[in-house]
Amino acid sequence: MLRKILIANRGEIAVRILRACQELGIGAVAVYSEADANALHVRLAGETVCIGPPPPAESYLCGERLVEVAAATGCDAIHPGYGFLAESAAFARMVRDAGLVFVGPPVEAIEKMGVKPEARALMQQAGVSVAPGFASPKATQEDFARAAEQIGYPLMVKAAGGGGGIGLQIVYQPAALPDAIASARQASQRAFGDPAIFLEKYIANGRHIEVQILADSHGNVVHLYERECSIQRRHQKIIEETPSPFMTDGVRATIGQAAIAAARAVGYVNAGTVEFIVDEQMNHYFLEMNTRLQVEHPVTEMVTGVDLVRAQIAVAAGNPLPFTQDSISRRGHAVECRIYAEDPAQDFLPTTGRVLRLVEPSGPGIRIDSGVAVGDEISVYYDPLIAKLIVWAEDRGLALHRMEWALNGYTMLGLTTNLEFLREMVRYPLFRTGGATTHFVAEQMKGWQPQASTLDDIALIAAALADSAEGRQPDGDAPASNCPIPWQRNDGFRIGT
Amino acid sequence: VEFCYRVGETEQLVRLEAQVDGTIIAQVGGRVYRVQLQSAQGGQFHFMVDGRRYEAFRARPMQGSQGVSRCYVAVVGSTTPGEPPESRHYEFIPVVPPQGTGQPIEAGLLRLGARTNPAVARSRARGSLDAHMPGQVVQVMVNEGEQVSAGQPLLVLEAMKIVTRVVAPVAGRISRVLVQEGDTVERGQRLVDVEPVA
Repeated sequence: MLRKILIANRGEIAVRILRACQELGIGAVAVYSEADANALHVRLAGETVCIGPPPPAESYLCGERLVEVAAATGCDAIHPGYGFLAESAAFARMVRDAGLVFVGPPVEAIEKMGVKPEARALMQQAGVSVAPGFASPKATQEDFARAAEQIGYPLMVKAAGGGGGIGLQIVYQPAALPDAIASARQASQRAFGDPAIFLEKYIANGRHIEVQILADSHGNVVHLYERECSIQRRHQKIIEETPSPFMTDGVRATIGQAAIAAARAVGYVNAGTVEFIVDEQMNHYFLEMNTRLQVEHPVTEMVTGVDLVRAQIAVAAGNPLPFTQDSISRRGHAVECRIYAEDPAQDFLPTTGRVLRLVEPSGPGIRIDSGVAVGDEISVYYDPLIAKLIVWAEDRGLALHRMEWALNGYTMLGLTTNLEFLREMVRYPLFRTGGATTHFVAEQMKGWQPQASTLDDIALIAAALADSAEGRQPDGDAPASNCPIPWQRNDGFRIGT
Repeated sequence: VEFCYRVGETEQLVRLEAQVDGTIIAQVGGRVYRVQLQSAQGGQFHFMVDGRRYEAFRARPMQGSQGVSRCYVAVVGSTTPGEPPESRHYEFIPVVPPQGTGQPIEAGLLRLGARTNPAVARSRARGSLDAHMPGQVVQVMVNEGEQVSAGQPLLVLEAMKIVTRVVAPVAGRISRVLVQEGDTVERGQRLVDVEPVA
């Protein structure tokens, strides 16, 4: 087993990894930027080190500093979480060269999956179906135009150097191709330092389905079934679930095997996710592989009963997987809602603030992976994901019903969040029936604004009750004189009891 | 007692009056409700309004916090068996209630309703620009006194990986630039004043 792990991340995922270490009796070092000195992951950790100023480039993205701190604190491993350096082959190599264990895949697997056109070619060789596409480093504008005719419109222009939807352009007509290529090259250069791009067929009305895999260093690879993540805004997921309401057992088995083949083709070890787009005719196409733990991993944990972070640590320590494919089964249905500090009524722009009051729902089948507690400041420096609400129930209908209850029991005061939007999403008929595609948010929820509610007046009454209970005048300080509200009487008079 | 709150661009007056039977008559805009408070503790309230049960939370930033004083309210609505309760979050700005409405409530007589806040109206006419999200000012592209056309980018804001350009709402002259490159701004903070061309 590993002795001590440096957690090279922040927020809810740092808390998640920290808890796994604590349960396993492994030491853990939490790192933080100056903006996170009082953050939850720091408060919960036994050992903490400040790694620099708030901007990620000067703290959480400083690979060398992280490796130094790991060595100085006697760690024998680094867990990168997701985001930041999780998919940086250079960082993984740096960790390995320092004689430390990287809790993630081998450097070579990250590299092979990191360059998207090469990953596509590797997948084709391994017999994994990829969407029709075209990539060539020396291709001229005419080559791209010819290839585009063959692939057919609409198609996507994508950055070769990385995923996450960065630089992605959808092209509907040949006339728009040159501009799309130019702007994708620009975005790609900015984000990955490489202007290389490639073309890929655009699957309209597709479903984003991904398969969780686990591999050990003894040659065992298993899949832990699929997750559906079609509910997205700006190519970022909002709601995920498993099993997918769209899957058939036949396709489920096929993509499970395809994911295992994909992992084997790059010599994958540890937890990873193979993403597919599935069209209306149930054809599946390889999109990319995320060579790390996913944000939405808890839904898989709820349904399979496998603790993925614990498995990651065991595999990193060189242990064989404690189960075979046959012993992994699914039970019930799990849904995750991502709670973001953002304003869905204003184009999902990020918001900031201090968490003044937090009431988290609880009860059977409810799990919360949160990175914040009361008093925490949500700053402008990092990703707006603040917590994940995950529910499990026997079937999809019951799980969504439970999610509605849980969302209504979630109170977070002090900043604008997407809770209201999530409440409406899980009630939305098209989502309820399992018919939502990746276009759902952009098409059905366009221009969303909170509806007027009978609760609007009730909230004003509550505000006034609170202000008068505090004996404050509306301007804030001076106690109100002769306030006639009965619960201020100090003679023991009680109302309604 | 009266309390007044700014909600978006309108102001709402709330009047509370205790009754001899222990209930409270609450008036919001022109609407009248009978409220029965059941418990009030540490910013958490349980009460009945016209026979329906509600739970509310109210929080305010600590005194001395920067910016406008705000209060945050969450309400969870009454439960119909089998159906999840409704839940909503609100953000109000407490303001001083207008004078001259201090008489006792006679149900249904007072009709204040929503009034446009004059400060907001003024700022619209002058074409000043507020930050629509919190973030950092990455670039300021204009100087005071400069002429700009409608839609011209004035500055660039960045927050949490999202970069947006703030553009001139109208053609005019930049009368004031209130921020510098590198400043961290709050949502709603004034950035630039644009005087429209006459």
